[in-house]
Amino acid sequence: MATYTRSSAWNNGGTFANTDLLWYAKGVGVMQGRALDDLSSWWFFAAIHGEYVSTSGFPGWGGLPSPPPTPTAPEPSSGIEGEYWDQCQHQSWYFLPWHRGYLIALEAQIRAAVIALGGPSGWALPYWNYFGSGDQYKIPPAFTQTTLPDGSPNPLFVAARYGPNGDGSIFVPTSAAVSGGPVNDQCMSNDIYTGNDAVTPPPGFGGPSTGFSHSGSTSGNVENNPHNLVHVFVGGTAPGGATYGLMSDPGLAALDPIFYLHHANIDRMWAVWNSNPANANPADPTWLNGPASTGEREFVMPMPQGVEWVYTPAEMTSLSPLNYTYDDLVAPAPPTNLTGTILAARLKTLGSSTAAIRVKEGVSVSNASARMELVGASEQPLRIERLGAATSVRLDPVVVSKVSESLNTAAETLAPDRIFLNLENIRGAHDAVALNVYVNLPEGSDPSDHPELLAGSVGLFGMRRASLADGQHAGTGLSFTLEITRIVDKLHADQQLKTGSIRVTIVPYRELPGQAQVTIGRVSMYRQGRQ
Amino acid sequence: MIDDDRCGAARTRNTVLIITAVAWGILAFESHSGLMTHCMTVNFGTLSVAVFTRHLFTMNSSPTLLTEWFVMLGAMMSPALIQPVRHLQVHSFTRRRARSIAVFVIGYIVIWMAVGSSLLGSQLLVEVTAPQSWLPAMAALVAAVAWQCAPIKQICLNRCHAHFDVPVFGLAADWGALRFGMIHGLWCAGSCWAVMLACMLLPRCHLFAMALATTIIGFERLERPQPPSWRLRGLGKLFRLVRTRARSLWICRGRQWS
Repeated sequence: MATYTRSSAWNNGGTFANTDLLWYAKGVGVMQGRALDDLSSWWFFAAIHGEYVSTSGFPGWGGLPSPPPTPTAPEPSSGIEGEYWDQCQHQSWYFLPWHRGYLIALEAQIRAAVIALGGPSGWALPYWNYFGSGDQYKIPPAFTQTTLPDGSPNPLFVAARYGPNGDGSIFVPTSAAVSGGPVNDQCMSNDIYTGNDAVTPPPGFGGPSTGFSHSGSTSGNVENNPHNLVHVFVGGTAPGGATYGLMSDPGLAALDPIFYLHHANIDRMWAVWNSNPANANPADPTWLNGPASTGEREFVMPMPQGVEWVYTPAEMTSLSPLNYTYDDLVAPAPPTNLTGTILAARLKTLGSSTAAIRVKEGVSVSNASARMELVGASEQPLRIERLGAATSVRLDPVVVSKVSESLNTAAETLAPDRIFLNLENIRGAHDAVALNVYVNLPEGSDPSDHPELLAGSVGLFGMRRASLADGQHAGTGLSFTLEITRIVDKLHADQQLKTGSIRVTIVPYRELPGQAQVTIGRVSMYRQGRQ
Repeated sequence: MIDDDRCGAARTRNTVLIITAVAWGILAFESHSGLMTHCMTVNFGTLSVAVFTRHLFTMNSSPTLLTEWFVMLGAMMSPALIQPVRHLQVHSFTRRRARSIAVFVIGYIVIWMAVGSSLLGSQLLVEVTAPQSWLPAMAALVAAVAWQCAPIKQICLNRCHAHFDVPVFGLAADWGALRFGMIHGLWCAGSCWAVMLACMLLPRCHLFAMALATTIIGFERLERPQPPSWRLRGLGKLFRLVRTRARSLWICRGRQWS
């Protein structure tokens, strides 16, 4: 029996009648009362995730709207900063284990404050399950109140939290919230942590193999959707478009108390994913032992009483040894033969109905090792304007013929090529951006009329940091891989793949502010299949 | 695109490492057999400056010097090319990969040969004016340490990690690969010129100094990009690696929390 159980923030309507939230607010208040250089302060913990303490202008911490009144002094010694700050792992297979340790450390600090205030010794961080029933896609109301029940200021209230429409209404646009809402939990059907297969698009559920990755390139599937999208939608863009909400940028996000409830939900999703015996975390020693094992920074957190805690992903793989659990770890029943179902649907689209039936009946599918190969690419960088942009991805006829041959000869015993669309080196200055990506969307048509052409949605959380030439990603920007096999199958069946190019249309969820300056270095298409 | 082809990545790495090993073999052979003509081993102190200079340039003909520089480049800098070469491979059409890599390498070498001409010129000048003297080498070493600690060194290192949006069709692909190679070469040269010059000006122990410099160059390239600042760079990653291994061997992790 675990000592600490994390429960839904929406218990008791998500108000302060939920004592988990009330004590969280009081604990946050205590931590916010400490100085920046205090290792147990709210500000120090936010800086562990990422910081702009000495940046002038937005998003420098000195220029953020209050509340919270974010300090920029006194700074700790450079040694302490170097050891603890700017540690969060993104676009990496360390994303999940690093954040699990981070939550435990923050929780220990809050719990110590709660106990000192006379609260429950078993207090645990609540989670915000935006996929829950009813209107749980909305932020729990306790975060929107300016005062606590006793009339004192509410530490959970944040001024720079603007929401998906930039109007201060905070919700996550799931399909329950908005028709065609882009935020979903489809990643839960993945069965590979790092890598890809028929039910797992690259780079896998947990993210690509990397070293220490404070700012990286390609997010794992759970990191891209829902994690990144929730960040950019909750943070949102300020009215006027000059700035964005705290949650939208890794260097600001952990200043907002809702951050930890969002990550508790991501952590819960990982635990649910792990509860399926078919899903395994990496066994690679490089993952298990963390980046310190290859001479990079170690994962380290300040714990109460000044204790320094060094941890590795191996120690984060399971909640029970950590003495934690969630009140809801129920995994939806996994669909039977999902691989076969997907292949059957493909074969039907490609005109092999008989083979499709045989696949459904359970004929085994060959999983011959397949490699990625470039099929085509755009010839110019693409600047995303306020309402979006479109580009042509020129296809190489030699490689396209390989794809066509594979699709023509698709059979139940040999899986046809899978196709991926790559958005490479996305750079810009405004993180609060979510983009919908369409393939061959007719010019002038309403994108919402063509959900069948939607390749996917991406949130540009971390783009600003990834675009800094002297940042930890050398200014290379973010990249995304979207599976478009279903769309290309249809194009092939309709004889449209022979045109020599595909058209990719980028549609922002909300009109981009002028200063967003988002550019995509290259849009490319890859095949994965037999050579 | 995520590079999840571990076999392909290993092939690229191994090929580059073989080239590196061959270059080191040539250098070791030359050093052993005394064929490194620009490494002064003869005492010219008794000759007049005019005779000395004529003799020196006779021994160190341009093709010979540049060939030796080329081999030295292969030995010291090849490992630093694994990452950009792999990037080109993954982002190019399969049938164009070899061509793009070749063009990239040409661009890279052109820059380094130009830089090498300047460094070799400095070396010859020192050999003319202060043969067999440790003084110029020490001065170059001080400059190399200063450069190693300077913010500009970090800027160069950071740019070495940057990847290009590689064009893939026609001449644009060739030009893109050439440009990638030249720009990468420029930042690479900016990062490493000082330590290479220090090695070249040593009157003796070239091979040992080059091996040390190659180790520094290799390990500093494995570090993540960082904000430019004054700090000591080079073998930090190696030290951290050794420390971690030592910790795991002796289980001296006293910082557990429960």
